[in-house]
Amino acid sequence: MPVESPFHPRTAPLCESYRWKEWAGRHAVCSFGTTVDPEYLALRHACGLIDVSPLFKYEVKGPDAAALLSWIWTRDVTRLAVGAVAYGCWCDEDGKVIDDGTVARLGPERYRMTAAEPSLRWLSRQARGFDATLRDESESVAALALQGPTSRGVLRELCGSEAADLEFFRGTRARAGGLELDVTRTGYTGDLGFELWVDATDAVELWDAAVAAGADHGLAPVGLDALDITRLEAGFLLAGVDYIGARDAIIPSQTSTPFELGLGWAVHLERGPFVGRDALRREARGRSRGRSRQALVGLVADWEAIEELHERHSLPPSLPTRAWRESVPVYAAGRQVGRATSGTWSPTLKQNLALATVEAGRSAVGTRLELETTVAYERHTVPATVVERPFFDPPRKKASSGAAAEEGA
Amino acid sequence: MARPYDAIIIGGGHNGLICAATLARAGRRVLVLERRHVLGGAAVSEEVFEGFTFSVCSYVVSLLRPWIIRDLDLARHGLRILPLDCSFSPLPDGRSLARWGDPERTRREIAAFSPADAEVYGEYGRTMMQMGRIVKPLIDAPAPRPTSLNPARLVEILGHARRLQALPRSLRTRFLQMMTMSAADFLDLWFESDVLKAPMSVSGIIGTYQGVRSPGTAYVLLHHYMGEIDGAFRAWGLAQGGTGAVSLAIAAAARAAGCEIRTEAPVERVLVRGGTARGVVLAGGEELYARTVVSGVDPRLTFLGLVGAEHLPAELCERMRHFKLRGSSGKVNLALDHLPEFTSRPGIGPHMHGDVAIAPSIEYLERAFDDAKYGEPSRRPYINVVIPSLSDPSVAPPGKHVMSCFVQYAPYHVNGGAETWPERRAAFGDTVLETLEEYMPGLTSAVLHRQVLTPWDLEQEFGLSEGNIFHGELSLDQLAFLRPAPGWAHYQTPVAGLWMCASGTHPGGGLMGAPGALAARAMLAEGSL
Amino acid sequence: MNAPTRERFDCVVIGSGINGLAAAATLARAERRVLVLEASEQLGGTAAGEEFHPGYRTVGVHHDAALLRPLVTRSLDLERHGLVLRRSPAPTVLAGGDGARLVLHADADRTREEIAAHSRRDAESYGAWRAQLGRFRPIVERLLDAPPSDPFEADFAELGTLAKTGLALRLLGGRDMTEFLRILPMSLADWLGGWFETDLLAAGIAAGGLEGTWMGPRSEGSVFTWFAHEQSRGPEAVGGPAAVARALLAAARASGVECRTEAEVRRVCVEDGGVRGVELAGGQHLACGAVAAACGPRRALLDLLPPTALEPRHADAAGSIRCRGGIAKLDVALSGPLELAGHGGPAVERVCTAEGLEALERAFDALKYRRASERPWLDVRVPSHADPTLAPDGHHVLSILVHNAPADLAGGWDDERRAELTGRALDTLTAHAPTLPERVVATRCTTPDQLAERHRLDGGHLYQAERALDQALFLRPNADCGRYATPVGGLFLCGSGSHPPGPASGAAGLLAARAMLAARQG
Repeated sequence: MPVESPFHPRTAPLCESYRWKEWAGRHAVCSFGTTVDPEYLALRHACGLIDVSPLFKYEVKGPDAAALLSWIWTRDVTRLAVGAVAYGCWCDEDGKVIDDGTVARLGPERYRMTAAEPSLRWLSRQARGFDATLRDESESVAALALQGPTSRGVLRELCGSEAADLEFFRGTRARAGGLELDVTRTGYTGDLGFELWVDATDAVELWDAAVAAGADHGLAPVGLDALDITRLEAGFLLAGVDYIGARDAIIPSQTSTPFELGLGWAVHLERGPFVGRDALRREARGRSRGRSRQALVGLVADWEAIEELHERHSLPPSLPTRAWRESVPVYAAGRQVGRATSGTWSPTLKQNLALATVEAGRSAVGTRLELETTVAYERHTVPATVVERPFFDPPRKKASSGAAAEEGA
Repeated sequence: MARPYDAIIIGGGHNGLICAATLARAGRRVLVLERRHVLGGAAVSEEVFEGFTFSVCSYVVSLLRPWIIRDLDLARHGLRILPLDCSFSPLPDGRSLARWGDPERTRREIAAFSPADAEVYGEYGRTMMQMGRIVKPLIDAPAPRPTSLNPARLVEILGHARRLQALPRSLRTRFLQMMTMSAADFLDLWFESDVLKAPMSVSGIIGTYQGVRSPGTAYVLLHHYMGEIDGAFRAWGLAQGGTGAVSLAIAAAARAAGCEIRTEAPVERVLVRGGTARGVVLAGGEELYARTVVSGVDPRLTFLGLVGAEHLPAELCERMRHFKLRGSSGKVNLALDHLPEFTSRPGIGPHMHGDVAIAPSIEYLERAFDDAKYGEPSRRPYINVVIPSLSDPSVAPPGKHVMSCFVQYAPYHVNGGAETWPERRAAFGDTVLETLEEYMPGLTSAVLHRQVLTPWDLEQEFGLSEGNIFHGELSLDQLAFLRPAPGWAHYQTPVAGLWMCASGTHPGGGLMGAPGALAARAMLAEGSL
Repeated sequence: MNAPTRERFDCVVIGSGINGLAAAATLARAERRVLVLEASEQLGGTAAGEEFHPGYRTVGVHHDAALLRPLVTRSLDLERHGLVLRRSPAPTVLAGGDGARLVLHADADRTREEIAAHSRRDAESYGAWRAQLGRFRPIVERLLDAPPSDPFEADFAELGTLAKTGLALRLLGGRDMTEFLRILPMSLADWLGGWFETDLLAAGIAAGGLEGTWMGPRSEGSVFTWFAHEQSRGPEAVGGPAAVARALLAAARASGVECRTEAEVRRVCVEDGGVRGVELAGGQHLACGAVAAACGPRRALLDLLPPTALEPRHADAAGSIRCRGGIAKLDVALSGPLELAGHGGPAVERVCTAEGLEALERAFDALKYRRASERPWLDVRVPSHADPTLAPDGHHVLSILVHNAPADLAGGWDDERRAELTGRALDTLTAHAPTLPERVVATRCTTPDQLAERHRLDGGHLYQAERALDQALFLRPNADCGRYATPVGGLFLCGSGSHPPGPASGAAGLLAARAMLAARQG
């Protein structure tokens, strides 16, 4: 039986659809209502409130905290300024991605790291020899995501200007009424948004304060289904779906390197040792054995082809109302060259999007591939094009609060 | 004189029956002779007390080879396996640990004792699954022959070596470690919590005369994971109707193929004339003839009991005298009026539907072993409890229950001699109940009937020499090409026409069924049958 | 404080025990500039002889100098540097319960006579047993004196060597070959119990093979570890390990090796995955291209390296090396020889008090529960007969290895518990040697925790890593470092925690040095 998140007393009564799933051992709402649209619209046109407490969170403290994190992460965390946040991944000795997450520098020697998978053991073992302490905050810290174009306004009412005026990927300590919390301008929707980190005992109180602050800004509670659509529009990976972590993989072909996942920008190779560095250097320098075998790309499927396929079967074209994550093959010239791992209809872009892992040689932007689709019980393929990620990247996502960034897309 | 059978199988245990069914399906005329009134050997269900069906000895099905289940169509012949979804470990201090089929739930349970162990538990399982893949071809085929000069045999060995070589070094090292380390030390490579390691390590010593800290016990941990590599086949579970249902399904398959089976037909000896096995002699004098005789009993009983030293090379007799089959386990079967609860986890809940291990710490297990090392049953034994009536109502009257307790250690060679076991039997049973009472108060008063089987009883009643449940210890020096003896590890014996097909041959015991099937194949391939 | 100076050597050897010195001498003879760094005030490591009481000296912490490999004696010309070898080793007196006595001689026939007094059957079996061992011995020696090969990663040349060993094995004949493979994973109790009915004999044979293991005679795999130990015996050096260390030191110095004492290494400096030098506890830096660590694998890999020098799986593997010390040392100063009741004849130089296999097993059991054995068995040497300089005229020293005493004793070691252990050991010996108490001048007890501190031995383990089936040959001390090289370029392991095991063998040091030379390191 999953256990309840700290926000459960608030989310449970609101979940009219009774659609829940399990996220890291916690009950998580799929959608509050019976359809996902209203929640999606809240995320893209107003402000959504999402319980993201099931993320695993670890505090790393001490003189060697940055050095320890830099040993574990592929990016050089010593370069992170106080109040800054970074996204990245960490790998095993063979340069295969174990997990991805964020690291926030909350103080001169204090960091908070998030992960999709429980990671205490990995962190603890790496910490040997470093003057740093670890604390598992996964249960003790609750987290809310406040995402959408009006989220800044909500945050201003909730916590004041210092938090609301945060630059992209920066954080600060803040107060909401009598509560102390951390606020970071981060999120999983690829849009303007913030995440709030608070002591689990204050969770319900924070929820109430956020709802009150958001009343005039169109704030709505949002479940994971809507989040899934937005994260796909943003081209963000989901661990366990778009890639398999090195510790969960059974065979090597299931693993991926950061370069293969398009996270090469988060790999700082020219520095001292970190876990997986030598393998990653070999890959980056393109030596034959280490060269990337595959690449994660964004695909847009041809709308006309989908329509035509349905027409052939005398069916109106059907659009999935939720994102999908059943793996389907991807072909080129009649041969399978990869698989699409998740995808969605984007209401904002009016396109069928997918994330796919394909042979490195077929991953250039503009490449034409074939995506498998089943219509009327028959297997077909529709053409799809490799495009740049993110699919959806509004200026307001990164814009400072000074700019007039609170309009819709 | 009646026409001789193609094959007479001595012993209606599961291996003998599988061998018989396989031969019968290949068109041979087969007779199985079982001493007892009921089939199955140690894989047997008996209504020892009216209304209560006990899996008298073997009580879980874990390793029965899926290919045998398919080949003999056992599902159609009545084999039903109910899943065992939980491993429950109550602790004396009132805490408890349950490991479930649901990985997330298991993670949370383990995390209460060690978050680090909870994180790595899945990884351990995956590694063991890899180990199982390496070992599987070795189990499902006759043993390799490293001393043979036959090029084909050497190629076979090279093939195994190549498979090992193709593994990444880390996995290969793990494999070598698994084959040589103790269960406790091997688990130390992953886990820190004693509460977790103890019940896990114990699967390494089932049926052995070793402790969890004894080198050479780690690879037996694999047994628990072999079911994983058979995929969702789910061979790990309880047979509906008790473990005997497995044997009966095999017998049904055998009969359907024309095999004749006789119970209450004890074989006194193998008829050997001119160095060749001609048939068998039953107690009472009846002689039955066959072109091939197959022994489904353990090697020492076969060679020194049924055949006789005079027909065998001296070296083999010496080897059999030193063959290690030191029984170390006993069984206590209980018919319960009602089911008491565990103080550490009250309620008759799903945690009781799986197996329950009384194994609170490594030290506890090691002390249990030390007692046995010096000739005494464990003062505080390891007990593995299954309550089949919770999943299978057919084994007990409504509202009543059956509790099956596997106990270690109970050394066959107890101080005073094995013959003193009958005097010790009651005390042995009492120790088990006292131990369980610490975790389940009220158990003793809920007992309607009890059946206590000591290693002596296993020998006397079930024909297991020294009460060893595997027909011979599964130590490295008695495995593969050394099982049961060097030179005689491929089901044949020095007596022409006499074969062996039970757990004392490769790949060994554990209710795998592979010895019976592989022996039958070898006989058919050899051609004289 | 002096400004840190930078000196340059080809290779630094950390630790000056027998293996460390053998490595240094081997490297120096190949023209390398070698520096040996010893943390304590005297050279020799655990082989250093000490005056434990005024006028009485030890031959080292361990005392069996027959484990010095002839390969080392020859290659380093040790006899020319003062090593004196006995042509015939001293016999071992097995002192059993109720005054039972059995003497094991090197000569099989003499031993058979002794055994016959206990059992005619065993006397006959013994002959066959020794003969079989004789046939197996060449195979064992091949493995001992060669760098271990990983059969799964062997290159062409190594496969050749392996094939030769395989052929030698096959040439034993199908029967012997099968027997050899069959017995190696067995327990000593089962193996010896199959040969002999005399418990005292079985125990006396088994006892020596348990040294350095975390096993009792009933542990599976103890036959393998027995072979690795007992079949590696060669001629014994007069003066014990201390004399071996002195000869090695002379050989090393003659080849130009520099040795420094009170020079504890705090860190091995690593850059770009390779060794650059070492940093001493005092802050001094010494540059070198290679380091041969004779200080123990865990210490070398986990304590002396920065945490970023090893990938996680290598760090994990290093942390998993088992080295649980279980032996205590007792040095006794005597005013006269050790006299055993019921034993006339030549001076007693070696005694083993293991009464039977069960006694060995019970003594081992204590380790599992972090206790010292209630009835420890003793491996006793009287080295002062062969080397009278160890004690004043007519006096003697006893060197006793007490089995078993755990490093992690529940509640910890203190002087009271050491005194208790000493008492138990002396009581055990007194039962066989009634004149002992009146001759005791002084005793010194060293428990594994003290070995850990004084000699920087992880776990207080004399062999730096337990001898076990999974920590043997190319897996000793683990798969990463089983062939002397470590994952860090230029860092090699050369102590008794490598193959072949043993603080007195010297072969690990020599073979490691050769591996370094072959890799163009040092």
